[in-house]
Amino acid sequence: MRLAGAVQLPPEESIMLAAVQFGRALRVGGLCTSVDSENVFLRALAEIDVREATTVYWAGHAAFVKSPDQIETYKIIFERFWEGRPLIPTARGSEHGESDARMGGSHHGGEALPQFGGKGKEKVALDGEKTR
Amino acid sequence: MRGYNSIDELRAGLTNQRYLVDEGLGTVVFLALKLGRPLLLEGEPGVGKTELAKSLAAATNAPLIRLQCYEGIDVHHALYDWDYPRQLLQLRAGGTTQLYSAEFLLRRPLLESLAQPGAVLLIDELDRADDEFEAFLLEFLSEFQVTIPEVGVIKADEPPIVIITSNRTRDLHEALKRRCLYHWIEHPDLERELAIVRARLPHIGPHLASQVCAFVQDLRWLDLYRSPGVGETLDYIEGFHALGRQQMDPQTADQTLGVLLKERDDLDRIRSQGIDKIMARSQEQSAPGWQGGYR
Repeated sequence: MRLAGAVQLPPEESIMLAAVQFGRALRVGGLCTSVDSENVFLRALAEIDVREATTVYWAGHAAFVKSPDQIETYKIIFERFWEGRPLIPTARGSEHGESDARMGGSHHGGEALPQFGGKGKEKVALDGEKTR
Repeated sequence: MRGYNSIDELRAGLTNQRYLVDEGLGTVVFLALKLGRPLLLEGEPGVGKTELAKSLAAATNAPLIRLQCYEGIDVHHALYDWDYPRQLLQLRAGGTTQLYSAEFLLRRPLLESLAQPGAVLLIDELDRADDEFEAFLLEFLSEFQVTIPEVGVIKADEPPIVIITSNRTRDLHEALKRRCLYHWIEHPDLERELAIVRARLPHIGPHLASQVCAFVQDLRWLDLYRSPGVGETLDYIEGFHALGRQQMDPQTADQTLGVLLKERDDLDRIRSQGIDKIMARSQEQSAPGWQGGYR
């Protein structure tokens, strides 16, 4: 399931929307992300190649992670984020769009984000190994 | 921007200083430079946190200003103090210069970093400092300016690159973490540690280097009280070299084990397991074709 209207947004706004949603998902996942962290992430995205999964991963890591025990949560949510899968797993583990009561607004729960990487680019796994 | 326009350029610049960074650390350092945010580095002792600041200063051709934190550190040690002996001399000589003016100000590391454009400011082992000092740093890191009542506000023309390190002996305040980019530095894997040894100790033969690195990698899986860092690996190898050894042997490994391990319990534990057995196991696991990884 994709965000209604997200594909019509200009690329910059689409990236901003995705970044904010990502920050919110991390918050639900237990990381104390702030609006400031989201701003830092957005500023970081402006400095890097957003089509490179590992670079985006580390930019988000620098902005959102604040202790080693948060790394695993961050990694899991980032994988979902990059692959355009629903960011918030529901209580039953379903990924078919159920809401998560902790998320406000209309875009929450099992909503998926637009694919962040460039189309046709090879996907890069988080361990750095490239796969097609 | 400090001469580096891409992550790869920066990594190459640090490699020229014989400091190897992986993609994660390279990205976060690049962003710290680009965004002008302090970088908080955490990790076990010996993983190269302090060394990164030194190498970054060299790679950006900037002065390194170091503030070593300790319990009880205060503003007079970190920011500024008055040069009381010179003030007394001035009084005795009947001079007319204001006693509490910039002329009699002793610049401590934080103030010094504002005076030197583009300096790298290393705030080392912040976890050793008190909460009060950490709270004081918040303002400094937000504005890169300080207020001295007798002198006024001093602000940096070009903010310093700030690297803060912590060994996590205690948690730092969330407020401080929010002002920083964050990176946790892990111990390097075998391949990276070998590359670091090659870069740092080019005079060491490959056989000795690979033997010691494999041995150290094995020790890190043993849940020691204090795992050896890269710094200890380098010292351990240098020890073998200084004793004229071209390869690792159990006897020399035992005699110089204190270079690698600094806790009595850790030393006893390794010796009771048998250094020769650990050596044999580590060589087997680091051999080409080994699929099992380290235990």
